[in-house]
Amino acid sequence: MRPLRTIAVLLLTLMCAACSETPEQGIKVNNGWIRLPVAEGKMTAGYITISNFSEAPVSITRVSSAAFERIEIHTMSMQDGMMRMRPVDSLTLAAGERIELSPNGLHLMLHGANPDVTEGQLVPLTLFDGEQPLAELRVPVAAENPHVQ
Amino acid sequence: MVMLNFRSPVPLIILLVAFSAGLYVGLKPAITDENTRSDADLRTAQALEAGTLLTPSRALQPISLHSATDAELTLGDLQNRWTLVFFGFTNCPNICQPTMQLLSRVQARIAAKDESRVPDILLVTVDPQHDDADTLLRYTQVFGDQITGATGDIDAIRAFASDLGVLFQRVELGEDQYTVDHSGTVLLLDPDARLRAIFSPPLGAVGIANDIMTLTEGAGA
Repeated sequence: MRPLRTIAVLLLTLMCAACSETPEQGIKVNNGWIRLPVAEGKMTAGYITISNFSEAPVSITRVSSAAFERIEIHTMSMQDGMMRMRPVDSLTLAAGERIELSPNGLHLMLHGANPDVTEGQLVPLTLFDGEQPLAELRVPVAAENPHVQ
Repeated sequence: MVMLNFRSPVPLIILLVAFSAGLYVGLKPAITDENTRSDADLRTAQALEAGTLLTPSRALQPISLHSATDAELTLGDLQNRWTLVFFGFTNCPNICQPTMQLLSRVQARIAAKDESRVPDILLVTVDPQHDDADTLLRYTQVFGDQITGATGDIDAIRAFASDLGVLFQRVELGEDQYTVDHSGTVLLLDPDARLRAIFSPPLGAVGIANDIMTLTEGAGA
């Protein structure tokens, strides 16, 4: 019984550690970066990690940036041996959910980069639910994921 | 669970299942026919980290494409060197761009060991309507100087892709927008321009580079 008890105590300690943290509201966005555009259409992809700290689902229906004409949320999936990208209207995170956007799944598709979108620049991004801004951040432009390692 | 609302009904991809079934029937015997494998082939196949070796290597149908410098590109132009072939398009920042970077890292890794064994990279566009020779040239130059872009007639591109077991399909997304679904495989052609190995996603530069080093060992590529 002793090992079980130890585990139980450990679990309780861990849970309490989580409880004691100041509850955060809304969503938190980090690990963002935008791939340096090389195509002539100035189209590129962007990646962020979104955490929903609220106790209700949060929907992101729009992402905008002063540095891009238009931003879409896309999915990537494998179907019939092909990779397929499709725009989605919105992205909903359940309470407590964390989503990492990546080349292998959900990602941002950014159209019409302005000339300031060069390597090392910080680009503003705003996430909205309808007209309500949920998060504002600045993310670096890089040829490769700058958050790896 | 992530919930997603799709903007429009997902367009139908016609004939795809029949098409892919036909392709894989064509490819399968070359990959799995153990009887045709020599002991050396078997050892090489086992030594590969990332790729699937074709034993024996498979001859390809003649091709007629245009290189990014607008010269005619035939199988003859792919001889006397190893070539990594990828089908993609320039307006494909999420998958094609990192794949091009990865293939360029494969070249760099091999170059660090033996310059003479560095394979060429051939990017064949699956969006010839947009990717003309000039567009491809400017795009491929970003990733290095041993990279060739190829475009051409859609039927010629599709024939080459089919021969290599690669599928692609243009999909209209509405409002003048479209995308091209495509396979993410990378094919390795030997110096006789025969299909020698297949690399399927997820791709890794280290594995592909090591496999090419294995395959070119003592061959004096």
